[in-house]
Amino acid sequence: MPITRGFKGKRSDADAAHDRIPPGQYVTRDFPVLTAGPTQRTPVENWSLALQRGGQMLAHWSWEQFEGLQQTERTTDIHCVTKWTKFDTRWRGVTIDDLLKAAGLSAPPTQFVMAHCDGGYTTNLLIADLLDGKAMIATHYDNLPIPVTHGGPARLLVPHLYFWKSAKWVRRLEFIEANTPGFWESMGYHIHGDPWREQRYTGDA
Amino acid sequence: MPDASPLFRGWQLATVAAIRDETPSVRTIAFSLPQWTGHLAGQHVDVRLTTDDGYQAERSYSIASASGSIALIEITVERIADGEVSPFLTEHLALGDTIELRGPLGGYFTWSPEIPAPLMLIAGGSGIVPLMSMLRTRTKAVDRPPARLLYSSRNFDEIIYRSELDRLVATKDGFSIAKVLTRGAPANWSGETRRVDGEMLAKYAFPAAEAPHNFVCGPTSFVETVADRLVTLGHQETVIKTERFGPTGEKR
Amino acid sequence: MIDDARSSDGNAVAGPLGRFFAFDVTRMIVTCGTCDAESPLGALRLYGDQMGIVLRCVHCGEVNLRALEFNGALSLDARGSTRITFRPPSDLL
Repeated sequence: MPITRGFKGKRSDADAAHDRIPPGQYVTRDFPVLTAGPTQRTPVENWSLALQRGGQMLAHWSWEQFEGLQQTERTTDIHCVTKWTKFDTRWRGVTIDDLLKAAGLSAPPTQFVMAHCDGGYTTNLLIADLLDGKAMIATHYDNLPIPVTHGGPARLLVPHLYFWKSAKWVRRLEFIEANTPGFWESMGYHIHGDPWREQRYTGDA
Repeated sequence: MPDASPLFRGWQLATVAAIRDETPSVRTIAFSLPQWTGHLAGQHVDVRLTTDDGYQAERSYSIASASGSIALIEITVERIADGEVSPFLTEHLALGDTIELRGPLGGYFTWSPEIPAPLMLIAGGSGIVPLMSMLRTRTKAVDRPPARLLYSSRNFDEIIYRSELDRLVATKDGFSIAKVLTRGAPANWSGETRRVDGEMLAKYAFPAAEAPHNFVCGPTSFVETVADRLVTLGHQETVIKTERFGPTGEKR
Repeated sequence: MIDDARSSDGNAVAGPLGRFFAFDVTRMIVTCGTCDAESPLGALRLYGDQMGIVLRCVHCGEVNLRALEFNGALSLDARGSTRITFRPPSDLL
């Protein structure tokens, strides 16, 4: 492949922190915006979050109610399947553990979740990837409300998986009986998406 | 209209043959190509850049030069301050450098002088580039349908191809321009000074009854607003062709 | 529905999608599965960035076509369109 003289791209030089970079990734200081559709702009007065199973609503929060839940802060690296990695991103939101607790669920009703978002985007997750502090519904990035282009007012944050799983504009978590591919998974992206095993596409690892 | 030959769908190495600055932030780059079947006005090329550790970036650019089969084409690139590719193309790429290029691409947003209908071109900013290919192609033709350009720029210094456009009008071959500046105009400005709207289109565009072919190119919101207004003015959607650039002025 | 921050259009997929077809894809007429609007592929709104190709109806915004290239093959999902029509290039429009 011919090298273009003088072209460096926008990546940072990989630091000494090689152990923090999953295979095939490069480090960026930017926060690229990728989207499968137009930016969603739901005003918080129209926003709600629901937990659901089948046709049944298990829990429902308005924005005010959601903001009143236990808040958690988290600093973490994030990894996009398009190969950029960003170190030390700072988030605040409600962990899925605290969400289930607030919903009065002592145990998740099924082992699989489909996240549904404004604009129609979906992504599927294993319960095991959402609990024990691994995931949250985030409302703040870098101490400020998440901008709409990055998924505000609220997005899912599951940073140990490729970032397409951290669904922007999340509105509903549906407990499903079987692991079912979401928007990108049904096109060929990996059903699980672990960057450390480089699970980018169906058939990887 | 001929379809692009599949033989030349692949990447080839293009060599920078000439460089010309159009405005302080816009540069035209001419490439000589080892294989070229020729292109139609409105088509584009993809360029691909590779770093020494294998990272690649691809972008699409409209071909600015007139249609034809000469293996020398021009693209016109607007430098976006925090872009990944345009600063490289407009500041670092030098004469004799090579770059991977693929094309010509696209058969939807194309025009050929064989079409006798009046030609209406509406450009926002760097959207002028593929429309300039159409105008340059028209100039080479013996039979030239009447053509009008409505061209919106932010300010005077950012009008791309300014003197060439004035020369084309001076040939008096049925081509006229209406220019729009949206962020301030010089004291002697005789053009429009507000954003393109329905009233302006009603004033400058060919009436729907003359069955023109309309080509609209520029930022997404500009293109969609103009296309909507043209429909309101009675133009059929099938004769309104659109090409939207992303926020960078690049197609992708 | 208009989001001028992100989209370009189907013209930009002429290269990436076109390598898998023997003809120019931007002239294919796509019928939206949600609202029945017909549009050349080149005029559809493009999303997806580096993740893949997502082409949405200009009238209702729903997904008409998705495409993803991986492991050397193209995965194409046309469930969002009820019909795709192609007229060979002798048609001047």
